[in-house]
Order: sequence, then structure tokens, then C-alpha cells
Amino acid sequence: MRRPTRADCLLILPLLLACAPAVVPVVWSLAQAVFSTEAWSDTPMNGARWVLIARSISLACLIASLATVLAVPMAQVLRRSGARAAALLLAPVWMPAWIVYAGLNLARAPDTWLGGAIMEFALPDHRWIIVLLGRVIATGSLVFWSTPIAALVLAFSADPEASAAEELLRTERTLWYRRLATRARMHRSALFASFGAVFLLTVGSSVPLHLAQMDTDAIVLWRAISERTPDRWAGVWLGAWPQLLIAAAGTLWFVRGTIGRPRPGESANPQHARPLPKRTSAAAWAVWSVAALAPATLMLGSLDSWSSIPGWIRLNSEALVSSAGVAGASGIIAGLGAVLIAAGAASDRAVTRVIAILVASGCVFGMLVPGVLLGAAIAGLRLDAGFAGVIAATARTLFIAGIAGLALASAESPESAALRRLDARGDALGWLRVHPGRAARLFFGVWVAAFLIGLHEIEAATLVRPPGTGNLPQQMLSDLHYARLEQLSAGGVVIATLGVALGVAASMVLSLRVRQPGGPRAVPPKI
Amino acid sequence: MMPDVRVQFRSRPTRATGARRYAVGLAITLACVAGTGCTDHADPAYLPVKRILGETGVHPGQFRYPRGMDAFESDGRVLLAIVDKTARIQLIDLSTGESIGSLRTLKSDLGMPTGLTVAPFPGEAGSPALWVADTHNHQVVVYRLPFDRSGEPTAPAFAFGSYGHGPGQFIYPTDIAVHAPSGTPEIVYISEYGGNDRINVFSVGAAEDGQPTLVFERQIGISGVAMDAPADDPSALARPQSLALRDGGRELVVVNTGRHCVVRFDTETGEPIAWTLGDAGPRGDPAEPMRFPYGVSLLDDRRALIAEFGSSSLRVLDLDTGRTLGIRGRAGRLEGELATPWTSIVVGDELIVLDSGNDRVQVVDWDEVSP
Repeated sequence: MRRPTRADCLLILPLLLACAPAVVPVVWSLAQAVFSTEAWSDTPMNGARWVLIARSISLACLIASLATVLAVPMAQVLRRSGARAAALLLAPVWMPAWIVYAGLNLARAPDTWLGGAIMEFALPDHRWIIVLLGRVIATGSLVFWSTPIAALVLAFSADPEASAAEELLRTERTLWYRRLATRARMHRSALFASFGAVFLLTVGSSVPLHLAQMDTDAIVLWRAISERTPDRWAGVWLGAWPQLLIAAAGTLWFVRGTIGRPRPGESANPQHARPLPKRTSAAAWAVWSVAALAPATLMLGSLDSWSSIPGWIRLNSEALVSSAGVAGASGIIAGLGAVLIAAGAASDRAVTRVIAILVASGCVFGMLVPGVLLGAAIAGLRLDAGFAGVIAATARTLFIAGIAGLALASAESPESAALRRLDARGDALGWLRVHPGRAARLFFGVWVAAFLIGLHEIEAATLVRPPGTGNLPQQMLSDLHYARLEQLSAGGVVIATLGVALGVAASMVLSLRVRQPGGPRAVPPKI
Repeated sequence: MMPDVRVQFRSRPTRATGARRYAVGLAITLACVAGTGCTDHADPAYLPVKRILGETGVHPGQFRYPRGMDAFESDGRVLLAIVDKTARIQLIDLSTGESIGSLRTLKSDLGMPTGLTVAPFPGEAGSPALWVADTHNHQVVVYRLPFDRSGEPTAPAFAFGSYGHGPGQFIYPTDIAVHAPSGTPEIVYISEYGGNDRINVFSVGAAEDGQPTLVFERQIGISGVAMDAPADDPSALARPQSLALRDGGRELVVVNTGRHCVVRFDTETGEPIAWTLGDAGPRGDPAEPMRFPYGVSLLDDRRALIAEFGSSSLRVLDLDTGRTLGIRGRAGRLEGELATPWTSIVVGDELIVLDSGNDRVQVVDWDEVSP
């Protein structure tokens, strides 16, 4: 095995530091819990734990299945449309899941026609309808919010051979359900990837389920944290082993999937495909409408006065500035982390590559651990409140760095890597020198994504950031909990607009397709 | 043109200097990110705490997000009635913090109660009772005081109200003010939100079949949930969160949370007398305006103590001038700091703050912080 170059050695320490926010607090809290004798007899939820885990897994499976099915037309549109349409289609990804829930939930507020009718019917003898409806909306909002994510995974995981066979299947005269079954079999790896990604995103944490008071394993852990003083959190950590196990297995699966996915140049050539049927486009945009348009429209429609929007901005200006600062700082760390991971993973030295992959795994792990647990772990480090806020936001957004960094490194064609080695630029620094544009775009893209997610991250932030007027997640959670509908709608409109505008702009700047030398999109123009 | 090779070489660090710079940079970075919080006791906003009652938890004497509090005297000791997010109402001994009894409201599947008011039982002079705004069950429930139960769901001694927008019905009731000039409740004021934000006024009628009757009289205020300051219409209410009666019941003080103001209503006419954002200091100088004020309690006939959920602080207001006489407390998790307080009261010479976000009650010597 060749030793890492000096440049590689210099990169290793910052590379390791990059994943520290996601890994160190968890490892520290777990180590403290394991060696605490009191903690072993103080674990929560010993009774009906298996029922709770089974329910959480079933619910996540349901959400993932529905999102994957709904994502099929969206993925087809994503694969064949231009950057603008694709960026718009992915807009719900840039909004927090709770906005979709809060928006759809407004339709059943007591002062609406529908909400009033439901309450009149349900009270006093059918109270379960109100509870059930809240849970259906929470589950549904997670399905619609995660559909674009499922579509993105489907679009990028499509098997090139299956895509080619798709054309052949069209010419065959067969019954629709047989054709559907054949198609599902052909695309099973992409469908499974899509299902797995959504499952992992929803099994660990989700604010909508918390708001709808749906008892899942992660929500009960959240409650256990909030019902205990910090000196008794160690028991919760020990009790969280199923979630940690799922997070660890999910990390392994995510990272293997990212490294092993087909390079863009290997995917089926969209130019050869037939035009997309109109009904497929219509289905994709219908799903998009429920995920993005309906919540925004309901929030705008529920506003008593348009002046509430500037009013909300004025009232929360301190919180917005403070949270933007925290999110911006975490974005910088995530952006730098992504570039370091990409450079490390593209190095021709095995040691550097392995370290980069391990660091990326640590980053992904930070996202799959329930946010409340991560927040509790960071709070346990007793850092300065402002710094702890940045660490929490970074830990929750580093997964973008891990996935994007690895994806970009593995997207490099073997020819390009071989040319670098011939030029004595095979190491991590060499990749940075050869691909400065890609590194810059990676940094910018990851920064925007981390900024947006960090801006409205609630779970870890509520445990870490100090209370008061500078705490945007706390303000939003209060609006959500105490049904301050005017504030909630105004804030939702601002945060959703900010997210969608920045996200769409960034997606367009970065262009969603990674074009490769030799790939189908890189055919040189005719001279 | 030849490149300036010398400049290129000079700017390139040697292995030793490069490593040194790298180490120094790393050390500075690590030094910048390390740090711990500290408490500035000299800060006038800091509350000099005498004692803290309760902590996070679900056992007796512990709280999980307490959200309503009132005080009363029983057998020579002051007891606090406190309701938290588990729908549990505890009676806490103010001097020791011991929980001497607790109960739960019968139903809490749709949400938990908020406002608590200690007042005589309807139709009975001098019989202490706890009036509970059972917010998500769209009713007001009344329990006799004191109780020594141990946390089990308990049927109230009296309950009234139903869901609806009609006269005397509730969407989400938040607080109760009871006018009992002769020791027996005569008029009851109940605030509510949820799209029909208003104050319902009831008169307490004679008992029928052993049960008192409450007759809807009128409503005070109209629903107006826009976030603007109520310059256009001070009677427009957006989540009226708590109430207090003033001037022998001739005036109702309403905390209009969604519009960040306090409004005084004439109880006879239902018309607003005055309102304030609290944005003027004692001499008319600018003061920080209120931000999601939640709890109100009267200190005397002129001054009111406001617990501000949004800014995690307390404010003393001059109700006649609308000016802020002083702001106490600051946001934080440490002793003497507050996180989203729901209410505060002064009992004897002690200020008692329901520090909801920190799951505790902080007791402060009132003379030390009174403006």
C-alpha cells in the first residue's frame, strides 16, 4: 500500500475535525452512559418497547412506500426535464417538513368551514376523529414532503440497463399490471434505494409526528429527554439502542449506495427516450402541488392581514439574524467538509480514501441519529451557547457534505483519475488542483443546502440554543404548539419562500446533472 | 515573459514553517471555539433567586412544562396550584416545594389545560375552589380546594361549557376571572382563542338541583388575529391569554398576546378604556415593547405584573399611564434566568415566577426587584 503524500497527511486532520460535531458528542454521551451504573437501571420504556419499535418501523415503511410510489412520475420528469423544472420540482425539499404539516393542518383549524364541521361532528362523542385526523395529516405531510427526496434518489439510482429495457417494454403488448410488475422488477434496486432513504429519514425523527402526538420510538425518546434532568439523560442514551443501531446500519447502507451508484455518464441517455407522456407530467406536478403549493396557499389564505408578513419579520428579526448566522457558519463548515471529503475520496492513496469514507460515514450518522438525542449530547458538552448552536446545526447538516462529497468523488471518470495520476496529481490536493471549479460548486451547493436546513432545524436546536428572542426554532415551535395561526402562517410563508427561492436558485446555478467527459451530455459541438 | 520564479519560491513555506503555521492556525481555531457560559450577577435583569421549587420530571414536586399557576392559603401555609403539560394539577407548598396533592383532568387526549384561578366555588360563599380553563376540551372545570389525591384522573365538582362559536360556547378557553365581591362568585369572565377570540361574560345563577348555573350575559372584545398593533381597534383580540379584574370589578385587564399588548375594558359597557404595548418607560422614554405577554397579576390597584413568554422576562406596568415601570429577568437556563415564563404572582413579600421552559418555579424577594 502506498503511503499518503504530505498533502494528504495535511488534509487528514481537518478531515477528521469535519465530522467531529456529528460524532464526538454521540460517542462521548454513549461512553458516559455505558460506564454509568445508575444509567443501566434508569432506561426508559422497558415495557412496551417492542410494540413501539414495531409501530415506528411500520409507520416509516408506510411513509417510505407511499413516497416511493408517488415519486415514480416525479423521477421520470426529473430525469428528462431541464435544470429549471427539476429545481422547481425539488422545491419541497428546501422547506422543513413541519411547514407542510402546519400548512395542511390549517385546513382543519376550528375557524375554517371544514375544521368547524369536523369539530361539530366529532364533539363530544367522536373525539377520536380529531386525533386520527391529526395523525393522518402528519403522516401525509411526511409522505408529500419526502416524495421529492424519493424522486431524486430514484432518478439518480436508475439502472442504465433497466432504463434501456424500458424502451423495449413499451413495444410489447401486454396487460398493464404485468407491465407494471415487470417494470418494478427491473427498477427494484432504484425503488429500494428510494424506499430506504425515506425510511431512514423518517424513522429517526420527525416534528410533524411529535406535533400530532403520535407515539413512535423517537418521539417517546424525545419525551423521555424532556421529562428528565440532564443528569439522567444517560439512561435515555442506553434506551436509544434501537435508534442508534438503525442509524449505524443506515449509515453503512447510505455510504455504500453513494459510492456504488452509477456514474452520470453510465446512465441511460435521456435524449434517446420517447417524450414523456402527459399524464406522467401531470401526476408529478399534482404531487408537487400538494407538497408545496397547497401548504403555501393555505398559509397565505389563512392570513388575516398581509401586513402580518412584514410584522413577523420585524418581530423575529433578531431570531432570523441569529439563526442565519448559526446556519451560515454551519454551512461553511459543511461546505469545507464536503470539499475535503471529495478530495480525500478521490485520492489515489488507499489510506486517505478510507479515512474520507469513514468521515463521510460519521457525517451521515449525525443525520440519522434522532435530532433530540444529538441535541442532548451537544448540550451535555457544556459548550458556550452560541458555539453549541453552530455545532448542533453543523452536526445535523454534515450529512449533505458526506453524501455530496463522496458522490462527486465517485463521479470522476476512471480516465480523468488516470490522467491525474500520470500528471503526479493523483492525491487529494491533486484533485483540488485539477477540479477547482467542481470544488467551488460543491462548496457553494453544500453551503446553501446546509444553510437552509440549519435555518429551520428544530430538534437539536431546541435543546442547545438559549431561550429568548434570538431563538428562531423556539419561536417557530411555540407558534406550532400554541396554534398562533397568524404568526405561524406569516412565518411559514417567509421560511418557505426563503427556502424555495434560495434552493431553486442554487439548484439552477449548480445544474442538477453532473456532466462527465465522455458522457452523453458532453458530446462536443459539431465544428 | 518569464515568470518571477524567485517570488514563487519565497512565498512557498518550508516543511518546518508550514507545519508551524498549520499548528498555530489549528490552535487558534480550537481556542476560538472553546468556551463556557457564566452568570453576570451584576446585571440588573438577573433575578436574585431565594429558592427554586421543582425540576424536570413527572414525579411529585417535579414539572414537565408547567403552564398555569395561582396561589391560596390553607391551614396557615401558602399553596401553589400548578398545572403542567401532563394535565396534572399539583398543590405545592410554597415554603418547602413539597407536593401535597395532585390530580389530572379527566380527558387530555386533545391537549392540556392552561389557565388556573383560585376563587370561591360557584354558589358557595368562602368555599375555595380551583377554576381550570380546560382548553382543549372546550370547557371550564372547577375542583374544590385543597385536594390530597395522588395524580389520578379526577372528575371535577362542577363543569360548564361546550364547543362552538355561539354565545357562551368556547373554542379554546384560556383563563378565568371571577368577580365575587361578597365572597360568592357573581360574574365570571372567560377568555378564549381559536378563531373566536373574545371574552365571554357569565352571571352565576342560583343553584338548581344542587348545581350552580352560569348564564351567558355578553361578550367583550371581537376576534382580530392580525399581528398589527391595535391602533385601529383595541377591542380586536388575538389569543387573549389571561385576565385580571381591577377597580372592584369595574375594569377587566386583558393580556392580548397575539397583538403583544394589554387592554383595559370597562366591564359594564364592554368598551376598551385604554391599551398599551409597554413601549414607553416611566418618564416617557422608549422601552422595549412587550413580546407575547402571557400572564397578568395585579400588584396593587395601579400596577400589574406581566410575564412575557416571548422575551422570557417580567414587566411591571402602570395600568393608568400604560408605561413600563421596569423589566426584570432575562432569557437563560441558569438560576435567576427565565425561559418562556407563563405567569408570575407576588405573595406577601415574595415574587413567584412560573419558569415554564426551565420546568421550575423561582422565588425571589420582591423588595429586591420591585421597580
